[in-house]
Amino acid sequence: MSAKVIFGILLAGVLSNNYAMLQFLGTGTVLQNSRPAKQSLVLGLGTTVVMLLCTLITWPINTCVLAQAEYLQTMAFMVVLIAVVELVHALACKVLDGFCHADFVKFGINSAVLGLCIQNTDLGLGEALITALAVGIGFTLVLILYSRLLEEQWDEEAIPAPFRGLPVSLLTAGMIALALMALNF
Amino acid sequence: MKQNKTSYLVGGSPAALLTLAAAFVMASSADLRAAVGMSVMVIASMLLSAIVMGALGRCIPDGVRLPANLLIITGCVSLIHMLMQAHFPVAVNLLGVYLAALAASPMMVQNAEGDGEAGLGMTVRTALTTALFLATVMIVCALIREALGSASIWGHSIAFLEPVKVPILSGAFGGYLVTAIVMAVINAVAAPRQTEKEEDGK
Amino acid sequence: MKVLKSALCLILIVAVFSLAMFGLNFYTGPLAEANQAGSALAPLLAVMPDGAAFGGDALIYDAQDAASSALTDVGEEVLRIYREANGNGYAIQCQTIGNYTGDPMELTFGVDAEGKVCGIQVDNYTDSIDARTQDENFLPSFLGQDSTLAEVSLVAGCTFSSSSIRNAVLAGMEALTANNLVSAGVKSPAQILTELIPEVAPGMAQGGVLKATEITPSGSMEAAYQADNGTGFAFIIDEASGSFLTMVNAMGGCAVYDVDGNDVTGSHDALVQEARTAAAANQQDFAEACQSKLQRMYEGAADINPVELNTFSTVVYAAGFRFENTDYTIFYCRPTGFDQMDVYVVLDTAGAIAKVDAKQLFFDTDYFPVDDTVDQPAYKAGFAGMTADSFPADAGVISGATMTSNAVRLAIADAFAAFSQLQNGGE
Repeated sequence: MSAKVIFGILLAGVLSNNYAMLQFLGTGTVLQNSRPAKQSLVLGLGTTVVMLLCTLITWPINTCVLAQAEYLQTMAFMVVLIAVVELVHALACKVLDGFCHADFVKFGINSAVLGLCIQNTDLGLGEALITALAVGIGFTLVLILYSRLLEEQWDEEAIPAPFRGLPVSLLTAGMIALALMALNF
Repeated sequence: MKQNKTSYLVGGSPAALLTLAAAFVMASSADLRAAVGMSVMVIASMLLSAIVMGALGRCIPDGVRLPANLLIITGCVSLIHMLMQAHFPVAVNLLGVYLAALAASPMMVQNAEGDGEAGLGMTVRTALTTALFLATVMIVCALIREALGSASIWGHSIAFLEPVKVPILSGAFGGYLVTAIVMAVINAVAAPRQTEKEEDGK
Repeated sequence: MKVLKSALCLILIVAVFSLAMFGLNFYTGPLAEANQAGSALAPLLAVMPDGAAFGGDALIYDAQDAASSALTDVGEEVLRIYREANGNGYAIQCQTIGNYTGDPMELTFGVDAEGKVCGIQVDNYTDSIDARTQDENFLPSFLGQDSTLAEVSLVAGCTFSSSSIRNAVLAGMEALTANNLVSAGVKSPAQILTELIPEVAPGMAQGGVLKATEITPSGSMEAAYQADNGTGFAFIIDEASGSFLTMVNAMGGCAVYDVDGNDVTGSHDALVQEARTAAAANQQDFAEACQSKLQRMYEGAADINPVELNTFSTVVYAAGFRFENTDYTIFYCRPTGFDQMDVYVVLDTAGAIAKVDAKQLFFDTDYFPVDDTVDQPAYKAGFAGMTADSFPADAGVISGATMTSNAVRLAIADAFAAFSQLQNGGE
């Protein structure tokens, strides 16, 4: 795999193929994130580690074990996902005392990770790992961006009552998605 | 299962539920066939998992309740997925990875957080209400997006809509826009009733 | 103990659901496989009548493994041939090349048991220019046609790639008829003669496709065509002895062909007269335009004498003239590049290019505008001195404006050919 291909995959995963904004995988996790930017960064990086580890484990399982039993794929991947998230959560609790929140387990088990593992089965292992890294970075970026937006003081009075809350959040996310769609290359 | 005492929706309110499920509403509402397929998956898997979780609630140790419930949900999603591959392949092809990824969606994770104390009846009622609400929202969004975005319904093109179609509605931005508008309508309709309840409560 | 109980609980849940899925797979597995196979066959079913089915042994020819097929004489455009399970015909998948981009195009068409096209669709359409020139009636014109494709328009103005698509379908039909899978249709004399026009009058065609408009036939004419570039007319005339193709060029030159493609001009004076009369009623006059251009190219040119030619190329007018005590011949050509062009080629008495000029070389609507990057005077001057023998294979080719530069090269080649005819006494 050339450096050009790697760079392309990284750029695509972060921008034009952003899972949370454009592929609707992990969007719910982003929308309900109300943490400050710093905590969002740590959670995002944690999710990136989970994505990499899950890809590393699920890819060979899918190739070697699940070839004859594709119907077991989701169950097997979910078992791996839960185990990896619990493991990362346990390690993070020891290392990042103060930044460890009980809800990382809930946060880490999201559709972006599961969807990534399923889609990566069509790629080679190297490409899958780079894709996982790119998607993780893109997910972290959106998480930070969104939390920064929420930190801004919004003039609630300027927003019509029915649009307050989730609707205006969706429209904000939609604007981010629109900007990323323009980078589709 | 987290719920408001006066609401039978996961998350407690329509806004909270849609925050959890917005991704799948947007992902499946580009085409009516996909929306119906996702609705079937959501209703069937939530009902089935609610029955199993409600029945096994007291047997599962508290320490592994979340992973156990998630595995139950994943199992139910996989079973329904297999049935849909056999009988509704069009929707499966349109939805792709979203059907399987539903098992790890925030809504399902929230659903799996139940304390095991709610009885079978309450669990099933909540699951059914939640699923039907989501299905309605998905289908309404799909009707708008497919008709105005692709000038078609159920994959069949509608000639008189061709000149007025807005292709961006079929894309990612269209999902956010239409879902936001539908949610705003729900808020507008629900707001007077909420005010009445609060006044009655006083 | 607690940990063991928790682990056991999780393992039990996974095991129970896995067993359930294993059992359900016996029911859903075959159905899902059938659905997948069905989606692969979807392009075939789309071109066959309702109720058609393709079994596991439907594939009777695969270009990638042609040697193992019992079919012979299958053209290279044909990718795969499928036999419908109930004897209702065949589905053929072909690949051709788009006329504009040169990229491959794939299409699928169905042939019923009577040997007629029952459905056609282009699966992979890459020629973007076709989106601008699309004729929505072109593909439907194939329906109900036998192997002759008689009613499929041979006249351009359909799509840029219409000839490619037609040739691909013809190749598929020929594969079926050559192997006696369906009965061959019989071409009418009119169809044979119409197909002959681009061959005998290349000036009326572009890329092998006739570029003409049907005009109202008169007298005993079955069909009449006027070239879009004004280079001439083609008439299909019925006589007692058969049908004939009569060509008239812009200078009044005439030729008559029979259904076998033989030149029978000498023995059909009546046809020649009838055709010339019909052509005269619609003929454009290119003399004034050419002479006016000639004066601008060679101010003071004298002794302008039109010459008669019997060519059916892009040359619409030719005249000899004298300039500064030297004789020249000017050829006014109307090739079709990206758009209709007017090219003027002046040759000296030795047949060498003295000047090349055009009314407009590159058009504003050209897909690849090169107007700013090409030194047009230098481009035209670059042809000076070239002869028919020394004309390089790549002379004048401009990357990004291939259609236009090829049209200029065609005009020059036609001018050389016309000059040669003049030198040989008009033969």
